Amino acid sequence: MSGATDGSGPTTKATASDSTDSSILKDQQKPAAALEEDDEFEDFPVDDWAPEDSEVPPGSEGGTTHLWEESWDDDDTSEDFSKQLKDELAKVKGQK
Amino acid sequence: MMSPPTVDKFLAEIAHIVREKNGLKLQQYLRYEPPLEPLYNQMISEIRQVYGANSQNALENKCKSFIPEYEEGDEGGSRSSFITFMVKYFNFLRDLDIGNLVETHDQLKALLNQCILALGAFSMGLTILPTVISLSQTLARLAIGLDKRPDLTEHLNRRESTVGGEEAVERVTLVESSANVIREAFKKCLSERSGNISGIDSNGKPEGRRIGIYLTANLCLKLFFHCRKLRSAEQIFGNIYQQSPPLALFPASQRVTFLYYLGRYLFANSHFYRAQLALQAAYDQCHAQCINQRRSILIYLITSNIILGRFPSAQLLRRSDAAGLSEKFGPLCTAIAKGDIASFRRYLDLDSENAEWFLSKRILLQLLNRCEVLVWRSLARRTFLLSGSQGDAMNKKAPTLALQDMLALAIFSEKKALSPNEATSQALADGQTNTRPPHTNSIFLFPKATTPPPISNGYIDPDLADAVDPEPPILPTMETIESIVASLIEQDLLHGFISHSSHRFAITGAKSASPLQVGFPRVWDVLSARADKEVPGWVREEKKASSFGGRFGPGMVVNLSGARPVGAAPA
Repeated sequence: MSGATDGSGPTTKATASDSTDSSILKDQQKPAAALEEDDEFEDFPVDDWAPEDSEVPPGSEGGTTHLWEESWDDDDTSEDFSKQLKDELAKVKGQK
Repeated sequence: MMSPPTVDKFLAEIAHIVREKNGLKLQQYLRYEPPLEPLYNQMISEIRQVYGANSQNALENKCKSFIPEYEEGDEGGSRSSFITFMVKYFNFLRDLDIGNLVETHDQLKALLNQCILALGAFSMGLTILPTVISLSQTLARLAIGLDKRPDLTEHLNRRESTVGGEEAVERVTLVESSANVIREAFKKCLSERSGNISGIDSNGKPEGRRIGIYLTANLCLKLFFHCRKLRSAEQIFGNIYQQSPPLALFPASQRVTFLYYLGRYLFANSHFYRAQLALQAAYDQCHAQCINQRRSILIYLITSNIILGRFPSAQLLRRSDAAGLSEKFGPLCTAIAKGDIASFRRYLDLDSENAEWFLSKRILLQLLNRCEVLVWRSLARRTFLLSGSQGDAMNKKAPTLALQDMLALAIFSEKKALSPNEATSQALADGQTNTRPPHTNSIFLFPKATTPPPISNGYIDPDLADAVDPEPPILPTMETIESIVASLIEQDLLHGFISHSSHRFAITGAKSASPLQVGFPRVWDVLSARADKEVPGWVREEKKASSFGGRFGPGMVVNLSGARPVGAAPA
């Protein structure tokens, strides 16, 4: 608050101390937050970004457009679960 | 009385900033959150000396001497609401006691309230908006922080319950009361009337106070979701759907946060397809490095998709934002694909460890209710695979499956699901006993084969004296299977009909393709084909002069993005 007209002093100070985030109000919620796991949707560290910043880089872990499987029907009748069912059907039919 | 020098300097600078209409600078000057710079502390001690609780008029006059109510040449109207805000701001600084956070919350709420009144004034609106946002963010953070500290708010509950008297009034929690104040800021931003009807300025940006719409909406949504007031969240979505400029014009962080809450709201209301659309957009637009946010979105996106018959791909589950989700959702997808009722039921059983996680994410009941349908479809399909009759197109004999076989497999599976042997031996192997408190909702009370309570002991209400203990769940019968198959046919998840006389399900129209493909269409294909693609709450296009009755006419903006030249071949 040095000059009444230019007013540049406190502004820079205020911004600088904002970024340190050492506020008491903030500290208050830290221990409790750990208990609730990630129930809250976290605030973003930046306001805006370009569309390409949202792309998971290809080549590395799972960078792909193939996210969803629409064909997942399981036709394998030789595995354990199907064998159990087959046995059960045979057993039930044998009883008749 | 000597004029307090620091207060004077401060007010002179504020007056200058207000004349400049520099909103960001104003917000940076109006600091209120400790730790404060020495100059602010100096100002606070001056206020304490000169402007005590009995000197409010003097303080107000001091503010007015720097910030005139009416500025010459400025057609903005009165600044009286801003002057009152400044008085309250000084009082807030004077009385601030970090040791009493509940009191601080009340004072902050009152300060924000006054700030919102200034937001409504034409003269100050846009200039004060950054301060409104900052105060709202702090209030929201403080409210949620306090909500997690019941030891600090316990006395409030008592105070409120005595205020409520004998009438059963719905208790407004601290979180909800904060949200209600922030919602006023949201309404002021949304009802901005400057500019044209679209609310977009010449640079293609939201005009005037509209830039605060999603900032304030997202804070309200965060609080309403925190205190589980989804109906209040619904009002936010409704208001936005009617009045907001397109979401795409707002910054990415606001878009993604909003779409996350919208998706969760739609999910909670069983609009899974719409939830999936909103959440997929949120996921696609989320910053690649914001892993925690991506993961939060992904949990609900995957759940919605599974319910709609779309499973997460192996590639998706390998992403770092999906870490750990494969273990949660993988066994579920396997059980659905196999038609393995026993595994499905045991996996989502309330006593299982997984159920706790699904329950904490509020997705357990949806998975239980919606995916059971898919498991039954798979069991019908597996029955056909194992013992179905392929039919004979030449002799007009349709492919069929015997419902008797499906019944046998269903009984076998349900018995397995109930089998106490496997369940208890598993629990013992894990070295754990059931420590979960009993569920209070009776629909979750699952009769367990335990020793009956001693009858001679304790009071039994006369009305309940003859009550019979609930029977263990009845195993499926032919009627159960028929009704399940009929229901699957009704939902288009099976294609064919039931022959009651022969107790068979017959697949129709299997001449051109395999009976498996025709009789058991892909779930996603069926559900997505009939889903409504419009998502209420998500403004995707510019407002089209709906106030003119929605008819075409002069001044009407017509969206031609999907139009083809005359005579062009369909795509």
